[in-house]
Amino acid sequence: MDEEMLAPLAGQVLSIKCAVGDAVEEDAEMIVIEALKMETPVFAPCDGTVKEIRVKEGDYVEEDDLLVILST
Amino acid sequence: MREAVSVFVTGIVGVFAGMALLYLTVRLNAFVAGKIDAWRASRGEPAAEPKAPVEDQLP
Amino acid sequence: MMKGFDSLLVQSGFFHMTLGMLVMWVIAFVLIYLAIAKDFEPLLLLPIGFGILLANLPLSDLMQPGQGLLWRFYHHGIQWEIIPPLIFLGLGALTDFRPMLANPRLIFLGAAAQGGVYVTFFVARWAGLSLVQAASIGIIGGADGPTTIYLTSKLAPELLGSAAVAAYSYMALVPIIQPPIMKGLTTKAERVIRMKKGRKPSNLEVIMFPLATTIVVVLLVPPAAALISMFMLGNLFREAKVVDRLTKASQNELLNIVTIFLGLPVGATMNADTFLRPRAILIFLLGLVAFGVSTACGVLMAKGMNLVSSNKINPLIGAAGVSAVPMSARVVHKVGSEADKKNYLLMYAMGPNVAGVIGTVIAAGVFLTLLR
Repeated sequence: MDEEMLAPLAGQVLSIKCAVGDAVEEDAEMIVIEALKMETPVFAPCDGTVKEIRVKEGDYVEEDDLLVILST
Repeated sequence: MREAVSVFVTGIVGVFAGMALLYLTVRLNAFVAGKIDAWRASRGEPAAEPKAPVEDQLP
Repeated sequence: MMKGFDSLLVQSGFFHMTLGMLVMWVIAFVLIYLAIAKDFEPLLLLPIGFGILLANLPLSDLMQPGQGLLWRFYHHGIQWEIIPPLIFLGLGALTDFRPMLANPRLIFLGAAAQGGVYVTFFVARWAGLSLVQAASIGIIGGADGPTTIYLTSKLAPELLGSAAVAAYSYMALVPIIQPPIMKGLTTKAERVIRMKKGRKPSNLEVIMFPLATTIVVVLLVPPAAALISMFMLGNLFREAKVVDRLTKASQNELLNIVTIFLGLPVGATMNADTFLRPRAILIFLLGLVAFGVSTACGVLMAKGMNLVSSNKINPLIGAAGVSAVPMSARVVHKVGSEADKKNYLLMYAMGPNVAGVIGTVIAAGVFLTLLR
């Protein structure tokens, strides 16, 4: 089963804290989005392995854009 | 002091009335914008997309 | 020869210093220190602090009516009501109203958070200040600097310096003032409420909004026209997307330039004679009350709305109704993520936050209608 991690808010991707193939636990910090001059970390929705990362550092994302696909 | 009470009450009522009016404006605005977008779509025009910024235009 | 030297010495400022001026120097240095070392609203408090210092150097004619440099800035910029509306033009070009349009009922949180304005007005009047002075102090609770300066300069110019410094100081202290009130009024279960996503406003809607709001607000409270019209013009520039040059000029160059000419003369109105009175301490205390009551009213309003609606609001975002944009929205997000770190409240909180700015402008307009 794949689990999609969506952007909770619009902003700029500041850093990516995971790589394809990583095993992550729920609540692990995956991506940091900067909006309104504040860094908002986005956490993994569930345990799993990183299957695909759809953004790169510096990208602007809209709310609900697909960030990462986790396979569980 | 009586004047203060009257300003206090009028003020609070005024701000809530104003903001309620703003609320209605926002709802009506969304409704009208939705209608216009739907009308344009029915004529086959695309919904209002942001235009590319015009850079070399002089005032 | 000796005589000339004597008179040079006597006419120098050193012989005209007073104790009050030295106290004002200390206040100026504290503000400058806080701005530089603690990042304490530096854009405003740094020029204000320097202005205070200048106003308390004896014998300079900087604030001399009719000739002084700072007096001219003050007279033509603030008394002529030019600078605060221009600041609003820049803020309009920087403000994204989408979070509010996506979730229009959050507007009522921005209305409730003006409660502190009126409660403080009442307390200040009760404490013996005049009606116009009480209104100028109450508006501090709106947490909106330019509106506070605009209203105070029209109603009670003698309080301008203190009211502005109080407003900007407490805005810098929002991350300290608000969280205890927010946590005290909510339960853990309320703080973890995840809100339903709002709809996505269309581009057409976002362009029509500033036009519609200008018409409605100016018709309702004509004295607020100067502020709201500039605010909405800036926003129209931003959303129309065809006048990129004007948007950028309003957001950056113009806003930065007028910020310089706002802070300096506001600080310069604070000379020892007008500022060093028990009144100044009263203003600072009342300003704190205003911030606290506004925060509480916003949170309580959200809880009230939850009683009648099944689509629950996280009551923390009520605190963002005070219009310190975007500081109070950030504070809401931080407090919310302490309770549940996957609850992203930032964008929801921006709704009441930008509504609060309009609310404060309306509150100022109501005061001007009633008191002038």
